[in-house]
Amino acid sequence: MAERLIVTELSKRYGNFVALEPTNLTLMGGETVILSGQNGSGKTTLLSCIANLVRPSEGTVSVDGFEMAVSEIEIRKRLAFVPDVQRYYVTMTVWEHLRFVAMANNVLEGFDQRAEALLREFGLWKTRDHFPHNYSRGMKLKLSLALAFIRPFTVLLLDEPTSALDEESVEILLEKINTLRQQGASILLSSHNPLIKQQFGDRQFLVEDGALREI
Amino acid sequence: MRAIHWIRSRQESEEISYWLSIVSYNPKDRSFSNRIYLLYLVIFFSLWWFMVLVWFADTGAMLLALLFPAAVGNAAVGLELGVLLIWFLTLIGLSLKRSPVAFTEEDATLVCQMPLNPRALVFRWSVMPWVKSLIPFLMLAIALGFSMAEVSFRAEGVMDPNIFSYIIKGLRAALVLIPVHLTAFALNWANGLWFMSRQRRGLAWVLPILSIMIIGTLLLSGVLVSFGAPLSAALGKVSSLLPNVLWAGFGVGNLGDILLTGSLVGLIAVAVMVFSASRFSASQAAQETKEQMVNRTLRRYGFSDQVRERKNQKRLGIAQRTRWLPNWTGPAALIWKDILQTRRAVDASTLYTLFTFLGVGLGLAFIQGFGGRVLLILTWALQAGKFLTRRLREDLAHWPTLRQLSIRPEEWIQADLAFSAGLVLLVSLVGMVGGAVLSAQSPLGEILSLPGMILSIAGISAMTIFKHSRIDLLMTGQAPGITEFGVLLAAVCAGLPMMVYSFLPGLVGDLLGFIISLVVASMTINASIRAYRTIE
Repeated sequence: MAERLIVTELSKRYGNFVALEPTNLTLMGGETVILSGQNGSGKTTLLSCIANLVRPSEGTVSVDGFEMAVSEIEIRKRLAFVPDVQRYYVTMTVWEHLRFVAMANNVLEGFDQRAEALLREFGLWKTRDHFPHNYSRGMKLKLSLALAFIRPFTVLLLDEPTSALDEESVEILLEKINTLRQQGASILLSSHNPLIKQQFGDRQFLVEDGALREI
Repeated sequence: MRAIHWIRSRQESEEISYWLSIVSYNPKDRSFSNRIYLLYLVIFFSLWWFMVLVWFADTGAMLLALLFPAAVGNAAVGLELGVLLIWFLTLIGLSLKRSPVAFTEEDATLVCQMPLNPRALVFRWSVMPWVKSLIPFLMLAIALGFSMAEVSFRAEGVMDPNIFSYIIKGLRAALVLIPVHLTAFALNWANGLWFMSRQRRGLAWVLPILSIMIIGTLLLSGVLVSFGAPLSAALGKVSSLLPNVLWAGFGVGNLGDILLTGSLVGLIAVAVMVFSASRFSASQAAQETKEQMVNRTLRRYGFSDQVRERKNQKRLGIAQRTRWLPNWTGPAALIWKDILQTRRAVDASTLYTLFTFLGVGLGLAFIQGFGGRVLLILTWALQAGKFLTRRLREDLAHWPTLRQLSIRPEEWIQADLAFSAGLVLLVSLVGMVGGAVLSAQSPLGEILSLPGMILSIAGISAMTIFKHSRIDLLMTGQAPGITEFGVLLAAVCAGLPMMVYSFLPGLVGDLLGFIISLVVASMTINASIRAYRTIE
């Protein structure tokens, strides 16, 4: 499989504080890499920098040969990020959130069927007309996953995806990750869940004081 | 009682400290220089308030004499009575919704769990809210008292009135209002307490029904009198009771008698309130007022966006069926989202803002002086800047979602401003056309420059927001607002075309203004896009 995600010398500093040491990482197609480390060690910073939510101090990110600095939109079409806590629009329902993401990413074809299948899978179908602020933390996380899965991607970044999920939902997520792997998507996720580490860790990294070390 | 007093007095001193901190006074600082500063504050604000009230009184006297030349006193009493009744009815409505006694989250875990005497608790907790709600009424009464003094001095031909007689007239009006306000406040609290108690809930409907009957009587007698119809003795007595009390504040009637009777009635109302609190449940009150107190705290520390969000959450409820799902893609998705969100978030403040745009559009036709127009444009820029960037700020506060859309920044910014800008344009145009019809003047210059002016305000406002945005705060959902400098800059940019067609009359000036408006708009939008790219 070809190299999908290449991270080169990516670092983040806040004044004198180094949140992320210069980091190099490559993910091949169909590969799952797991990040672990203590709270505040820099896992979320690394994922946010790769997703370009946080502007890195130095370094580059490329996805499928497109460089972030040059072809940001092309990367956005190929990279999906699921944060651990997502904020939702107060005035939009769950269905409207999904629709909005699909519309903005130009993937409306077969939306109704895909959205229904996703919501049924995550157990959110009956509450599709609800406003997400009424959801529990676990349900919000499932919606966050659905928002990522409603559009195509080749690289998926997941920040603590099982932190608020029940056992059944974790099973569903694991199945989903497995399918995505088989389809050739690269997955980089931070997790403390031993089940995920055991089942999917093609490679595992420890993040310690902003530095990445393979274990 | 001592424990209740101790807790409450600490809260009250904290409240006072908060207000004093706005003028940089620290009550805990016992130094001599701080005491001198306090003295300075007292003198400064006494004089400042006096000047403000005198200014209001002057304008009020002019308006009263202009609108009601034959019945200035009646108009002043009517205004005072009207404000009192509206406030009273609002409070009555609230008393049927939640507890009048509001507890903070800390109170809920501390005070509400203690076996405290409910009567003492309610009485002690009522003092601060009463004083706070009394202050605006005192201001109104003093201003009206001053207005009446102005009117009477003018009528008597007194050119240089004695300042003490002036002040006394204001204080007299305020003094009369205190027992009336106390009675209304205490009765409302009593009503709220009845509504909270299951056994006395039926009683809580008596006061609202009685109030509506009295207000109906007042209105009916007003209509009958205006048509010259005679009033029956009973109707006349009921309808003139409250106005007569207020008249005493403006020098008609025996002040001593009115004050004595009023105070007695006020004290009885307080006693009713205290006795109604025998079954008061502090925990229930804390539950009912939790939302109100959280919003108050958020607003106090400047998180008004969160307050709006919480209110919207409450208003929208659990679910809503999606009706309009167009097949728009790319940046148009943002326009769909904006229309949807604007439609669902319409509240009184949105309507007020739109009304302001209408008013400014209308006003431009009538205000021809350059100074007046500058003031109008400044007001417009302030309101329009906030309104135009509402969705943009909301999207910024959803940073992870926004940054994952495969839409270019320039497309995103333009799409996010498009719907709001269209709405402002439409409403302002209606105002301008209305103004043109009423004033019989052609506002070609204004109409041509309007789109560019709106976009200039949007561009500058967006630029200042982006310049003050920080990614770590955006990630937690906090987008900055427009700064004062941004408002000023927006007003300058929007005012440029106006300057051109004001100083260069005719078609040439109108066209030049139009071209300048477009150039400025394009420059400001580009500046905002550049500012977005620099968000760190």
